[in-house]
Amino acid sequence: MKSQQDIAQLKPFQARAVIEHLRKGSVPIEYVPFFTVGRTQWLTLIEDDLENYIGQGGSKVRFINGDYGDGKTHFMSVIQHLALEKKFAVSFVVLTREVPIHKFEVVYQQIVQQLRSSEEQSGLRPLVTQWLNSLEESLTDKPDAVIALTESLRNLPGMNLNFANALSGMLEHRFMAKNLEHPEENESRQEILFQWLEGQKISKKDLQPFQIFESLSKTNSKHLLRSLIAFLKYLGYQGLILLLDELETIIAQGTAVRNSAYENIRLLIDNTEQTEFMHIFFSIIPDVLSSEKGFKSYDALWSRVRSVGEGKKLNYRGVLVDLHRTPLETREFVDLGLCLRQIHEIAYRWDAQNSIQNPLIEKLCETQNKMGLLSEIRLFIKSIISYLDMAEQGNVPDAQSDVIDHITSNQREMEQEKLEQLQPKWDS
Amino acid sequence: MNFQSQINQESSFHLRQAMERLREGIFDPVAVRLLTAHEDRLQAAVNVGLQQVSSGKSAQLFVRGSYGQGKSHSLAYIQDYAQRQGYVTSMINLDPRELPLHQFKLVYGALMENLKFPDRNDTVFEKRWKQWVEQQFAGKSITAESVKSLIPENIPHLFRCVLTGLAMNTVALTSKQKTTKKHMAYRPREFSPQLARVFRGETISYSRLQRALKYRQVDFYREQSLVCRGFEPYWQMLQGLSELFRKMGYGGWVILFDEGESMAQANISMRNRNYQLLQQIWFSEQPAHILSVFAFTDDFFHKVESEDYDRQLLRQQGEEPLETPYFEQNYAQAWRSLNQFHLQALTAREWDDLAEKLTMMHTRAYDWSAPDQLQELLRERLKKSVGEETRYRLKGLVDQLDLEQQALMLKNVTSKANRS
Repeated sequence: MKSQQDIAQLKPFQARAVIEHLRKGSVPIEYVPFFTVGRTQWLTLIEDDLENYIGQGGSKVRFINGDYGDGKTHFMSVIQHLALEKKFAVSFVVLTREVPIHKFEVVYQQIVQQLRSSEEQSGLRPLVTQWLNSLEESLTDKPDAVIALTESLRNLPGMNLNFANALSGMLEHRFMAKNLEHPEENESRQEILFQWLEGQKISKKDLQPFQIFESLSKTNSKHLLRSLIAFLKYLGYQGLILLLDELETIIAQGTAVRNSAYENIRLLIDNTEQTEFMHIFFSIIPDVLSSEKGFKSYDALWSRVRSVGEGKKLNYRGVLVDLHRTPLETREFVDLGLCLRQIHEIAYRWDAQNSIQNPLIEKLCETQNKMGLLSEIRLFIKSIISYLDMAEQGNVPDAQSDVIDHITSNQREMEQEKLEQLQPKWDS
Repeated sequence: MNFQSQINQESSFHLRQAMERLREGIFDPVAVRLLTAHEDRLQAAVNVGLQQVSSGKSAQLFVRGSYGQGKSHSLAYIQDYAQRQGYVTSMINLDPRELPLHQFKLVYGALMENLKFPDRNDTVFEKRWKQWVEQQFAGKSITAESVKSLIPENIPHLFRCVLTGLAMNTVALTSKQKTTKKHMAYRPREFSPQLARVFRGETISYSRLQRALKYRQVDFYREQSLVCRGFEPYWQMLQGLSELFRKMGYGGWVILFDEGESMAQANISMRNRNYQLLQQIWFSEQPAHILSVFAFTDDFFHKVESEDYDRQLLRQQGEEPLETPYFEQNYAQAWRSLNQFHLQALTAREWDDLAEKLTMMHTRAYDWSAPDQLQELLRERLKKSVGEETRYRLKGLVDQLDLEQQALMLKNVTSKANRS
């Protein structure tokens, strides 16, 4: 995985993308390793899990707990990079009202859409296309070999017959039944299969020729996910890492929906016996654990998730990855500030070291600490970037400048942005 | 065999998997094998049921306990034990949304999907059945009628046809015949999976089913309707299958239902339906070789006790409103004498033993050496959680072991980083 030491490799347009994202308060997922500091204990144990447990056939569900601005999304992005580096496929899905966890079939569609098998590749289509291309030499004009491969796909452990038939359909249409007179027919058949794999609704009539008997539904979505993992394993990946962000949206839902969602999560935890090579991370805010509408309201889930720690020591292997209880240390904040300064320099091709000097970064950190806001990483990032922006535009803050004012105005802006996000979007 | 030797027979991965699952509070087959307490009591209760099953009677066992007390763990133990005794097993989780009891066709499908055989290899039932039929006729030619004679009478017609079709070979056609209009629908590769789907409770179109049966030489399929609806035919199929398993050399069939309390979470009409079905399942007079095991929390029985059995449902019958009772009978009374197995809390001594066993498993799973004072720390941890549910206390022990192990691991990582 890339690290802070590799910042110099960033191209100006990449560095600029990082800064633009951070200025808006979002996470530039592709570039997070360049400015990741702290939380190494969590990451060490997660890395150990990936290598020695998930990659060996294990399955696990964990919850990343942190308040707004604690860096949950950032942390998940780091896991994404770590997993890709370890040859896992990853899918990063943001849960919303439209993609709710109680409708796992909808979540499945998103999982497939957001599937990443490398830093560059996203979605299931390129993965399947790459696989078909790789077979060009060994399967063209060799129907027996196609049939043999089809059979071995069907026999993969955990593979659903429909899923296997969709892949076999791809193989047969690519290597056996090409309609040379009507190439567009081949394309439309392939499109049907792609759409089916992506969980879209296809008529039974269109699926019949491929011996696919059912479309994605509530009852088969988890089977299809298992089949996807079986396929990924067959392709040589270590497994699948699911990063499901913003589970807290559940709390605002009605009781019935909430209970179905909690039941679904419980099933995901309990069905780890049937599922292999998969790690699911949900991000949550502390309210999900503490409020009456949270996990507590559903005994069967609460008894699995509730913390058994005694308060002082953190179990880094525990079900909860409690970022809220492991805020960055002052030294780590300063490191983060230095990283951002270097990225800003590359983005706008200027020398920031003389304008934003180390003592100012340290002072910013100390002040935020005194104000009781040290855990708010997003606020710190915003404050640093606005200092850097001002300095780059010729308005260099001096070491005596009023840091409290600066932090407060940034905090106000963030509150305003949060409010704006909550406004209904009439034209969307 | 002592515990250390038992552990040595397990791979590090499986021990780690057991630890990971215990940490999440869910049962694990390895942990079930190595860590079941009150084994003798549980075995005795299961043996009573199995004896009844051997004599051709259905039997039931009700595992009752609160959340986190080890119901799923006990069910997994019973499943493992029954398999070791030569029984076929199926374990499912009842779920009011995805697997409600009143949709018995789905329950049947789930039971079929989760069939496990005593030899623990992955061969599916369909293959075993075909092999067994071939063995019965030892090289002689097999006809549909002869296969039919092996199938218990009480298996519904649809499934008798399907079972026969699964055991028969597809009619061989000449290349010329294959090109004729009459045999346009001849797709031999499809027949086996289609029959297997029907066997597992799925629905396929009548024409496809008819085609598969025709080419599999099941001549008698037209004799009765192939329709199966409602609870009865699927329950009969379960009973018939248990008899068939017995014929095939297994002890019978143990079906296990976890999360039984979910049946009481549905609305009143669904509850009424669920109670009716349970009554039929538990008090069936039909001969069968089924032991059904249900796990319930106390909530289920409290609900059954607190139902208003005098409640009337007002229906319009012609011009007159007609009052009928909501519930067919007072189930609280009817089920008072059920054979319940109450899970009991472990004694302090049993907890100490468990802590020691867990330590041995954890150190093997994560490849570390436990410090001398660890057992004392675990004992202290147990003292602090007296009165808590079993699952929570067990999680506490795993947590303590994790803390000790990770402290060592992170120390090593830091010193390595410092050196480099």
